[in-house]
Amino acid sequence: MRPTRHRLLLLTAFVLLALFPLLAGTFYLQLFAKIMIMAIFAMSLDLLVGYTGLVSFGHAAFFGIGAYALFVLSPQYAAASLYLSLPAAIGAAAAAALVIGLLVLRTSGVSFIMVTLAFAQMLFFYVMGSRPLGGSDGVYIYVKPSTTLFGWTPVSLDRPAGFYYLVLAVLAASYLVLRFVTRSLFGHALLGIRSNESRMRALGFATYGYKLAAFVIAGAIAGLAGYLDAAQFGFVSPDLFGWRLSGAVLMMVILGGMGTLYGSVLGAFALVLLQDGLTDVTRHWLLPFGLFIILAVLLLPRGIGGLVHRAEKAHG
Amino acid sequence: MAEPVLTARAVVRQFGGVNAVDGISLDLVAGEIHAVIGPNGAGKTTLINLLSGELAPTAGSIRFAGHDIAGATPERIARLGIGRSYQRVNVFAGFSALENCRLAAQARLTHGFGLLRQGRDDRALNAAATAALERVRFERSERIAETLSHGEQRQLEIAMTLATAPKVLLLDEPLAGMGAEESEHMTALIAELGRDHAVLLVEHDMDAVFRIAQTLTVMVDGKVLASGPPATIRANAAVQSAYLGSDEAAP
Repeated sequence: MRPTRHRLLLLTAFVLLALFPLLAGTFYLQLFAKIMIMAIFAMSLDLLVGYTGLVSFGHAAFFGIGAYALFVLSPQYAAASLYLSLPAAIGAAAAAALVIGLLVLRTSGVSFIMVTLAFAQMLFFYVMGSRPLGGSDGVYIYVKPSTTLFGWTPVSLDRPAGFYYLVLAVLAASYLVLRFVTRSLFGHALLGIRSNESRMRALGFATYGYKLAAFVIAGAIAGLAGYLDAAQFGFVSPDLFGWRLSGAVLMMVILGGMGTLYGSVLGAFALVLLQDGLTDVTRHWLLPFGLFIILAVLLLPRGIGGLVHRAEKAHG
Repeated sequence: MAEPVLTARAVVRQFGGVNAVDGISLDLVAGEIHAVIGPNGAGKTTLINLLSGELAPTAGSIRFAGHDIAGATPERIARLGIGRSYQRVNVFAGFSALENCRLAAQARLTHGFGLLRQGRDDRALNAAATAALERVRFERSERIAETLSHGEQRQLEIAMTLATAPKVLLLDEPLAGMGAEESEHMTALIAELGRDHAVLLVEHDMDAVFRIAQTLTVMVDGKVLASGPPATIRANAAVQSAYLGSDEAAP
């Protein structure tokens, strides 16, 4: 049966990721934590692109807000509490997504792509020019958030393995939340909107509200990813709002396979590892990188996730 | 005659300088089929789009069950109880027939977004969807919509509309492109639906229209040329010359 086989594969992947710190050194732990953060970010975008049919080219806006929220909430030489700063970062990103979503969702298609990009660029330039936020140089967060609760510290984020496990837990939780959302009646309605929005309205769905809710959920989880990114390296810069990042995450979703969630995780791993591997080999890594993407899009219309799907079917 | 559930008065819709619908008034009554006929470009589909909210009227009033719905959004009108089908098949191509109907039922049976209700196994929705499919005698509920034949897709479209539990059905050429036998079944189905719905039927198949409609409105150039029971319309000299042609051609 396919569903259980599918679940088994995901569980295996999770266990392998959980065992990874036993084998790997600091460099790879940090690299994988970074990839998993991008995977969370990509999954949140998949809710918009893959499930709702909203191609946002400005999703980094919410990533950046989550990251800067940690900076704003961190005392200069002391740790911010994870339990306060993390929900606050998510809330800030969700609030921004609500405001931006109210406006951008009045458009669709190519205009939607351009308007989302425009909003992210506005935030980018705002942060560039803002002295309290460090301007174009970016700014350091000297102390990682603390996980201490009533005197008890479950995991120290200063240790690479500790941080790695936090990210893995958040990745798994985000996946489960998004899976729940996409399988709910709400998720069914999103798929209907992607397929044929005017028909949905004729059936009685107030599609604008549905799209807005999806936009806020996606923004909130993107903010969560941004927060983790800021926490990992203790540095934030305006690039976190940039179109390069919005484009990169969109590529992860498309390459991984839209509308599957786990495809976005695969896409994040594939793109970051490939980029990492190629930069080791040659300075002109963008050339083979671009070739790979062209080939992948040509040969795998449903992304890397589609390949997994096909293999499952063949064996199931 | 029973009280009309939907009344349109002097409804106008302009495109550029042209009045596609030019002062149409009509009533829809529960348990009755009201057919709108007329040559291509007479404004029949525009009329349906005005009643369903896809277009806002330039002038005139549309009232349904105590609400003024002229210019209301399609989703509001649908939720009030007016369902429509399309001239061109308009279904969710990648979904199964059952999923299509379940989505339609969801529009009407749920409040809020349904974030906390899991979709696939929802009993109330599955029951409503299955009932709608059974009502149109559709049996291949697990088939993906885009793999169905044209006639089956038309049937599915009606089932979806029924799954929203409407009081008024706006049917835009439900027989278009159907074979003789399919067409026969669909005509019988519409006649049956006419007993417990108020139906507005736009259709070119005069044979079927005259057989099942209780009231006919003939539209030409956006205006009502004549309106009344089938026998009156058939005998109307203006209709004959403008639309039905000679006596022999009239059914």
